Amino acid sequence: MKNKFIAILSGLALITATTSCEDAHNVEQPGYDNSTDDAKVFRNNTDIERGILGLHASLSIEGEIEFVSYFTDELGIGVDNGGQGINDGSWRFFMDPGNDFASSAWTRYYNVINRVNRLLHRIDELKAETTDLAELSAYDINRARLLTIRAYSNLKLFSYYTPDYTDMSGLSIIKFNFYHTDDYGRHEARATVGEIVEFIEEDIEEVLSVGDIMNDFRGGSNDNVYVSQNLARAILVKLYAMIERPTELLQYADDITGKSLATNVDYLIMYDGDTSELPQNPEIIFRLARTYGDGNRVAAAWYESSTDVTFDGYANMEIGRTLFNKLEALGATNDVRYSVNVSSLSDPQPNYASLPYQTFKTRDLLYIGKYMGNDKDPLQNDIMVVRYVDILLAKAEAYAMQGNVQGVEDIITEIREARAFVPSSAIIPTITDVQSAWKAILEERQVEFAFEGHRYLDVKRLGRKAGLTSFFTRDSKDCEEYNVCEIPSSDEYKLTLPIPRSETQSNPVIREQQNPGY
Amino acid sequence: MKSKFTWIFTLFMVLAVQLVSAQEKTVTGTVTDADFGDPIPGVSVLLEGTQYGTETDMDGKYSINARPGQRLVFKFTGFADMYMTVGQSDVLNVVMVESVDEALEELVIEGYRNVAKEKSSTASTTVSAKTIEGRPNASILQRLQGQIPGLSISTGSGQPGSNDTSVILRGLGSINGAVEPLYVIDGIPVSSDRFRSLNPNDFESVTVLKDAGATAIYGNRGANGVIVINTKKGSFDSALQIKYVGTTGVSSLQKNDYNMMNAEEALAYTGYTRQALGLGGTNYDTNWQDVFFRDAISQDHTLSFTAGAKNLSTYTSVGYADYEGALKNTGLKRFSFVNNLNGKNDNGRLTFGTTVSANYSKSEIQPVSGSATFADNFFFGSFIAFPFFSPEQWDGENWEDIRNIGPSGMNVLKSPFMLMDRMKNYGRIQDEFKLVTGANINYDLGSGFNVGSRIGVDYQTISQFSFNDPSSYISNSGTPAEQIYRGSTAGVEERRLLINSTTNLTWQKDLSDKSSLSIAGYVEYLKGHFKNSYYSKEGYDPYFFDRRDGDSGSIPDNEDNDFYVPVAGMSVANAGLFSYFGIASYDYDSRYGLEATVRRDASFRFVDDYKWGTFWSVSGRWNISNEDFMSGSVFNDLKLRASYGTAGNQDITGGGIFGGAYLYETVYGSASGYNNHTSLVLAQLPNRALQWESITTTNIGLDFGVFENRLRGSVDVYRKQTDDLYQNVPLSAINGTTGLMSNYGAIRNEGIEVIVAGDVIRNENTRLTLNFNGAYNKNSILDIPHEGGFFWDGSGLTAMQEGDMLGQFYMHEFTRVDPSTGEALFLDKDGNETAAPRDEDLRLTGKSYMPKYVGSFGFDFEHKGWFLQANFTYAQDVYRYDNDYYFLTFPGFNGAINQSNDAKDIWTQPGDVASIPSASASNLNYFAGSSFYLRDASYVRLRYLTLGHSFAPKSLEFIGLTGLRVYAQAENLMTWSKWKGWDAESNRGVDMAQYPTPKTVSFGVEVQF
Repeated sequence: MKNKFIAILSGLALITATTSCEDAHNVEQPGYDNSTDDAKVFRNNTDIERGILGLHASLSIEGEIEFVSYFTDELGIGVDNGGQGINDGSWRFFMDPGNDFASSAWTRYYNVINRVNRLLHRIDELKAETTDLAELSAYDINRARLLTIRAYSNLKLFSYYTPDYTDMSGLSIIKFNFYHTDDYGRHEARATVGEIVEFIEEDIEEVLSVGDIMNDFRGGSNDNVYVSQNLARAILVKLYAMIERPTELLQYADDITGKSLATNVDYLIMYDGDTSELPQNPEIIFRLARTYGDGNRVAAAWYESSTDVTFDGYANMEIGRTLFNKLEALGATNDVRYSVNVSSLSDPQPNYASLPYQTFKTRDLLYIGKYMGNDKDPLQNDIMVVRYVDILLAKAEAYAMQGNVQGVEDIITEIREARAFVPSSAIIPTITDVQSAWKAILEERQVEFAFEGHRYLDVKRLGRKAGLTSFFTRDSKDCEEYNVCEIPSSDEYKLTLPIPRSETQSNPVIREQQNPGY
Repeated sequence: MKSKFTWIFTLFMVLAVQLVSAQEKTVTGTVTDADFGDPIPGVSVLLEGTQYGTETDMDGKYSINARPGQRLVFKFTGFADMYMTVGQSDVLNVVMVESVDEALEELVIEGYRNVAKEKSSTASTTVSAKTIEGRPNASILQRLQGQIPGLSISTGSGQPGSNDTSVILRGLGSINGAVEPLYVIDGIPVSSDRFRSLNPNDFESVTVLKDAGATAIYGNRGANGVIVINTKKGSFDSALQIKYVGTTGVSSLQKNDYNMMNAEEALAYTGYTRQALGLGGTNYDTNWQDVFFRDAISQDHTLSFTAGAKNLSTYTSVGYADYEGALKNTGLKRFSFVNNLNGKNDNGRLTFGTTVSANYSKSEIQPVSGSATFADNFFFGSFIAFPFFSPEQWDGENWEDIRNIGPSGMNVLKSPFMLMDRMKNYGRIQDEFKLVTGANINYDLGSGFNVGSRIGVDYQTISQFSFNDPSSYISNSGTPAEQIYRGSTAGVEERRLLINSTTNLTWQKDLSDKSSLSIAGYVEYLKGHFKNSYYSKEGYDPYFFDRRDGDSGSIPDNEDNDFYVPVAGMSVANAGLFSYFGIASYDYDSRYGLEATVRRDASFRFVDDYKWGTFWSVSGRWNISNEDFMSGSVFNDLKLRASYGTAGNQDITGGGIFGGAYLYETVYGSASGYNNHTSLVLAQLPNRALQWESITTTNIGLDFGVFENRLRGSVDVYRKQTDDLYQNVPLSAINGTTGLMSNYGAIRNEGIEVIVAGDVIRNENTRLTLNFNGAYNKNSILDIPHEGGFFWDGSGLTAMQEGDMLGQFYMHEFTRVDPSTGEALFLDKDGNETAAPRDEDLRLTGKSYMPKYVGSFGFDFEHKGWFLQANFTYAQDVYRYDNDYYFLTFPGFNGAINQSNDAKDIWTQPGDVASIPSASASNLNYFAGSSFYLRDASYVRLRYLTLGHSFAPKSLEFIGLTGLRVYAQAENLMTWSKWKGWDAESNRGVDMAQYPTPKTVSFGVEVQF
């Protein structure tokens, strides 16, 4: 009896123990309460602005600069090269759907658009909750900022993944204009070029209808590290250059306010690592701020480490001879672009073409001088995304489309004179016909935007028009050792990036819509 | 020693006198069992200290001649030995209690309970202290290697006590989740696989539970098998025994077959001359491995005390170990203390036990193994450093002098000096304190009911400190000029606490003469807490800097810059599990048995409908050898058993008990932002449908013993299938991320395990036993979330294909170098040679880095106290990408690093037949990732060889010892393999610059008194 009693008691104890131990499996981790619902995270305009700041941080183009420099004719093998660029094929024009940049660019910009759409949705919710006019107009300004970012992301995706810009019904990118959270099974097809152009135009139209979006953002005044209406206009200018609409291009280019070519002093300051005077720089339309310790080091693409880049910095890659010869032809002592791009520690050998390869590699030292950073932050520089000279050269493209050769020559002259220490000694190219006009534009962009991530798209857009039959042709000395001198005409499909494997794996619709050649 | 000897001698004299003076008489009595009072026939009754004795008859009665004061020993299998002193009475009745501690061969330890081997229907293998004790490995895991069929243990690092050991039972059961078994020490599940602080000499046995019948009661933590470790215990009524085990050894690196170039060969191949490199007039030819590695000394001492009174027994041990690492400035020092107490009340109905294991260890570590950074990875750096430099060229004082050695610029070549600087100026120390403690109590209520409870606590703290001296090369060359004070320190404090409690109610009854039934119900509760705090700081004044702390010489922040601002943070995580389960078992006549378990668990990782999981198993056995028709056969033991059941894995991220705590929610957070303003970002996408991986196992096994157990062993055939695999499911980029971890897919492992031992010679003085255990496992992927059942991430060396194994290499098949062009040639998808392979020509090689066959074989020879043991372990049909060899032969690295002589076989002109393509071949990057570097990593290794002598107790009596064993041992002495690197044994698919397991020669002594 006694035993049975104890047994029953124990059984009851077991049962109560069973039902009362919730704390074991319902565990709340620290920070749970406020971090899981966007209504608790974005509560007012300031929070939306903090979200927009997060998006600015996602717009990094260091990866783009690196990819473009390796995949084109900007670089040659450096004296301290330990296999970089060679072993992974990135300097050898190796491109397939698994390519790092093709995947990261696609992922990055769609991530940005996804977050933009979420914030736009939240703004709509917040606007519905208030009637205060000042607040509503502040929300609209933030809406415009978000739309600018969305248009910018679309432009990037459009330019890299669209095989033919001028075919309005050809395939382009996904039109991502909806609020999307966790419906993981949704698969979109590629939209047409026309649809994407319309998408970008609509966004910019709304941006240009509100007040100044750059001013007063985060308490600062007119700092070009943030998106602005001028950036919105620049986006359209670049879009129209790709799809060949000269009239609209010229119209928006002329609408850009308060910008002009920098003086030589200002030009040097843009790249010397001192950021204090950059907000007032007349040439910068949009730049990406890089602060101490945030991990973005653009020159780490070419240098292995450290402070004194050329002495201690293991130059994996140097300036390719093609690009260097062009910079030298501008006038090594006269043109400010030579001073910015070629480090003063370089040691070019005039007779380089006759040297044996090993001697050429160790003696012809052409160190990249752009982005030296500063003492506090070596190898790290603010990145110039859009500069006024880009707009001028786009205008030149419009003139070339219209057959206005003189207009092209005027613009090139204006730029060369502005960039020369002694304007009268500037070397002006002779432009005779439309094809040589395109060639002049392409070559000007080559030296103006060296190591800024433009070369790939410039050749894609202008190469054929400038009369090129093979692309990114390197100097025969640079490519002697590894035999990769150019992308031949038969491989022209490599001028468009493939839709990355991550997308074709997960999206059965897009799987059938891969770019040609892949 | 001498005093004890005197004491024993005196006692002996007293006893002898007593013996002489007392009268011998006949003593009779009845032996009964404590539970039911039934007489026990066949109990052996011995006169202590003699061979003289008798047995109880069918009524439990015995009769023996003895003198008062003598002790009688009563022994019967399944009961605790009883020692009774003969008094004045002529009648001595004895009550025997069922024993908790069985001889190990007779017992199968199933974790929650112990079952007599005869009555067990599960697949498990036990390794006893005999095999574990005294081996010169710091961690228990290395000592288990090769001992248990189906358990594949490979050590990824030679750092003493490293927990970079992969332990896999019956093949990989998960792609991303934990694949390691659950470890239970004395009934307490431990929170991680950190064993470096525990002293393996304290372990009595290690049992691996393999099939569903055994693991289902561990529910969702037992999915990958359970390893049950029991520390030593004392026994009741036994004299004090003191035991000392000491081992001393020397470890050294194994050899490699890379055939590295020496100084002259390197100069000839690279085209450098000593003159051009600023080394004119020198003729150094340095072997950099000798500079950075050493013969490491290790020592391990354990002193243990076992004693037992009538109602209390205890085991206490104290241990100290010091294992140097083969890499200079690495090592492990450990101090451990174990105390196990077991007690009972007079009638044996109440039993209780406590266990305390408190351990402290200190490790010096050189991190950064596994990455190809030549300035901070010693393994890689010592290979690739050019031999024409010498350590004499730098006095070690001033880091700037390194730049002036040899040629100006070309800093790539000076990596060995940076390594020397690192060895001198950088360090990382981890202090670990691990406390595993628990208590259990059990009360026999009578009428077959038993109630009990157990609570266990695993408390572990790791305190890590690392420093970078302000005078070091890295801290100076890697910081901006504006930062005047260099050097850095960092600290991490991690603390984890795991509390586990189990309460049970058991009922057992004999239903009839031949059959019995037992039913048990359990409730289990587990809670874990984790806290990790860290700091790091740059900027120290070299005058005051001290390597032992982070305060001396610390430069405070100033308003000009932020260089000297310390970084600090803390994170906290909590985990918990709750379950209830039951076991029912039925036995008929010791011939047939049936067992079933059911379990229900809730995990903190999952929500809503997915939180609770139900797991069950059914197993049965047939003791064929107990059948009538088997009496008189050669089989003394033949048992057929089968089991089927499910288990779950909730450690789906493989991050340990605290990982993946929050995956079912959308998470926002603040981030460092942009332009010095902080931002708000979305950090994680939710997956509310997360659930655990479930594993279903079918197992059929046969245990046998033939010719009076001269040939014995078991064979198991199994199939283990994991469903709802946790893996990366690709997502369209519009979600903001291209992959989400979800449950999708299935993997199957099937195979056969054999363990067999045979006594070729077995007589009084000599014994020769040959043993073999082997396992074959076939792993196949059944279902993955990708089109066509195939997935390749686009750049890796392995791919997944439904129907094939996990970890299969997917690469271009290299055939040869084209003699006319120097280009590498590969097979295209049609089987023709091509120099321009595309994606479609990649092939599934059918080769994987998980071995198909693993096991060991060896022999055990004993003759008159001398013993010789040898054990060979093997792994076959395993392949690995030799990334080290890639660096040492690939043309692209010529001139930057020292290479192997094999690199000289490179194509230079048309007509050359070479094995390495031309340095200017256009398809070199395809060559790098091709099958050329996929190497056969199968090996047979002489795992240990022991020679020693065990002195007979009689010969030791004069010095008062009860046992003495001395032996010499060699581990990893020889390896036969095609693998060229240091260590064919590894748990990785791509091996590069890893800390290899060393070979060790040691001497050990065991003294018992």
